[in-house]
Amino acid sequence: MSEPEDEFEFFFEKSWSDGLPVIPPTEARIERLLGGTSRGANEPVGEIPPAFEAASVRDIAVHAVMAGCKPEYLPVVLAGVEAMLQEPFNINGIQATMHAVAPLMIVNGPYAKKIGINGGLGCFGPGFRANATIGRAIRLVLLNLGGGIPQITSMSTFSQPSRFTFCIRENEDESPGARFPKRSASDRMKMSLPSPPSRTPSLYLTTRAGTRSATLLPRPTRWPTWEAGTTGRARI
Amino acid sequence: MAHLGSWNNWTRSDLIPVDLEDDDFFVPTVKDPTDLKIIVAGGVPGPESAVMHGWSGGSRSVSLAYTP
Repeated sequence: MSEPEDEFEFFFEKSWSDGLPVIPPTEARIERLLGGTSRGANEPVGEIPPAFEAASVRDIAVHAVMAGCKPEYLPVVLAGVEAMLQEPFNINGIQATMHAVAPLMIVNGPYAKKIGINGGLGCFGPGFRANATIGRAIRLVLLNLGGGIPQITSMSTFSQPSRFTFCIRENEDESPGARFPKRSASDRMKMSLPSPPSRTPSLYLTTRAGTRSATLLPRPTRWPTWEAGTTGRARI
Repeated sequence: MAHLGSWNNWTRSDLIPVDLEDDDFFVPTVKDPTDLKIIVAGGVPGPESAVMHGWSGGSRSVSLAYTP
C-alpha cells in the first residue's frame, strides 16, 4: 500500500492522532462500538473547549474506536467526557495552560472491574487495554474535538506522559474504607488532576484559551470514517 | 517568601492564603482537609503511597455517575 493510501499515515497527515497509530474508524467498527451504549448516536454530549466542537455520542464513539476501545468501554468514555465538561473542572484552562496538568480518570463500581480496568498491580503502567484505551480516547477527544493541540492551543511547557492516557480503577477490594467518593447505588467515576504545584495564573490562562479558540482551524463537521476495504479513502 | 510574593498567585484572595512576611511559613497543600481525597489503588506486595497534586486553584476534581 502506498503511503497516501495507508490508513495509518492518513491519520498522521491529518493531525488526528496523538502521535501513535490509531485504529481506522470504519463504519462497521463505529456501529459495533455504539452497541456498547443504549444512548442514541446523535445525542449531544457537549461542546469541548477551546474549539467548542459539538460532540455527539457518535463523535465520541469514533474516537473510542481510534483509541482501541471495546464497546463495553464506551459508557465510561462518555461519562468521562461529560465529567470533564463540568464547570469546576475547568477543562478550558486545562487544555490551554502552560502547566503540564493532565486529567486522571478513576473509575469504581462493579462495572469498572467487569470491563477490566486495572486498579491493582501496575495500574498506572502498560499492559491493560481498558486503562490504556479509555484514557487514550479521552485524550483524542481533547485533541480532535476540543482542539487542544500542542504548540498551537495547548501551551504546556513540558507536558507529561500521562497526557497520552491516564485511567485507573479504584481498588475497592483492598480498601479498608468506604468506596470513593461515596457509596451509592450507581457506579461512579472520579476525575482529578495530579500534577506538580503551579504558579501559573489560572484566570489569565482561561482568558487566553478563550481568545485562542477563535484562531483554530475549522474542524470537520462530521468525523471521517475509513473504509480501506472499499474505497481506500476517508469518507467525510 | 518575599521571592514567592513576586508571583501574583500567592496573593490572590481565591487561593490559599500565604503569609509573605513569615519566612518559616509552610504553604498548605490544600485549603481544607476535606479537599484531600484518599483512594486505594495498586497491588498489595508492600505498602506504598503516592501524592498526586491538583492544579493549584485552576481546577477542582469532579465525579459523575455512569450508566453501564
